[in-house]
Amino acid sequence: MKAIGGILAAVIIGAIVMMFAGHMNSVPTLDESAKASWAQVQNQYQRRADLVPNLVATVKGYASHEKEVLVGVTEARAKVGQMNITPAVLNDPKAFAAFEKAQGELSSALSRLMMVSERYPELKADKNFMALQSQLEGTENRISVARRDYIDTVKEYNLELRTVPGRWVAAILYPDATVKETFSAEPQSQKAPTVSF
Amino acid sequence: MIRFFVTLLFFIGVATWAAPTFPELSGRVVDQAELLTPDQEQSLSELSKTIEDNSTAQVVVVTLKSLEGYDISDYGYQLGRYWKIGQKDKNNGLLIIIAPNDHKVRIEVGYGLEGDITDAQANDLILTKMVPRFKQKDVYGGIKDTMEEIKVIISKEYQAEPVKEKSHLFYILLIALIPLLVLIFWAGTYYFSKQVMVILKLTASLFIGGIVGMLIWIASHLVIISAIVGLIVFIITYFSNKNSDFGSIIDTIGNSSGSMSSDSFDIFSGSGGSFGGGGSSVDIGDLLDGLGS
Repeated sequence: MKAIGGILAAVIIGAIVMMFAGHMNSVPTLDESAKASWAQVQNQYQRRADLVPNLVATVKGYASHEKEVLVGVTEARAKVGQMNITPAVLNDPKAFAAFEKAQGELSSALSRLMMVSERYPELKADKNFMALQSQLEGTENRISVARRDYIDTVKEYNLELRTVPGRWVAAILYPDATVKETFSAEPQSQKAPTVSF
Repeated sequence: MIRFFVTLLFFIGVATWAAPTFPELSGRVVDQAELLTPDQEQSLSELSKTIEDNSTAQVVVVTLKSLEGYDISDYGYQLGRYWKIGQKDKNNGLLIIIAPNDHKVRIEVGYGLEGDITDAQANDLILTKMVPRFKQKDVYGGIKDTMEEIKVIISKEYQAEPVKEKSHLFYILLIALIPLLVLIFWAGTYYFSKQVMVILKLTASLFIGGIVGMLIWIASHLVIISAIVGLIVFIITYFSNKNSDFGSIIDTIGNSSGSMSSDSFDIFSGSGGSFGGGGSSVDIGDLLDGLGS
């Protein structure tokens, strides 16, 4: 009887150990992949910021009196450029919100610029402008892809931190790990899918 | 606790937000919207194969009946990821997507090709190669011209690969070593003791198994399969010449190399490439209305 009890205990302990063993490295692994996808988000935002000076210069050539819009873009670009974003931001809701806000402002300033440019047929026909326009479009698209990938990886990481057994493992082995900030789905990506269940 | 579950539900909800249904990757040309004849499909497939043979880049043409309400760029990168077009380590996949009913065309460029085919270039390809032909209702011509141009752009990037020849020579030399090994082996049966023979046999079998595995790897790029085949060849070689019959080694080599050459048919599948949203989309209006289904 004693022997059976012993075996049973061993099996149960073994099962628990197995359960935990699979989660031993999950937190750092997921942390790294979240950081990597964050780097991608930043890359794409940087890429967009790099396009701005050229774009502004090109538009200026045809529509120099659209000062307000041009200044708006330049200022928003400068604001974004001032931000020093480190991975630590991911755990700081305030800094994260500030980052979101600055990028959002650049987004709307840029879309205003593109709207204004619709009024200038010569600008629209400019080869340089056309190239920049498709470059910008592509970059905006990459940004939304990178954001979504980031949301996915952070979701995994946060789930691991919040659910058992990852939660227990984290409490013992990685007490410093905290839930990461994430983007809310952009309005456009909420509207896009018309999926029926 | 309730809050916890609500958060959890929210997370799960987020996970299901973006899942269009994708067509099956039936080949290099997936003509769901039926814009191409079988002959044209065949010709485009061959062109795609040529591009892959030259550069390892995978180009897939897909026509879609519907984007299911998604933006074409949103749909495109997810389709590319789902099919895993492009080589795993190079991410050099490219999709030409045509959605006639949604009036959209897109060139979706994999991570690894973004440097070669910039968004502006992709845009230019659509506007100068595809759209003019589409205006004449020549879907095939538009796709073909675009692919020809892509072939030129990509192959420029990959031209510098004469290393291959050198490595072939290396393997030929390796294979040439086999007879030498067999000779030593054969002579060994007369001069060496049993223990030495076991080591010799082991070495010889390992060597042959390794070479066969390597050859298969070169031919197929499937690491696991070549490793398994190599291992099997090793085991067969080792045990088949237990009674010092070196002729069986030659038989083994002959048999395995015979089965190797059967990889000539082209079953296409994605090789693990990923996409990050590069490329360009163009609204083609009603250019293709009334064509296909």
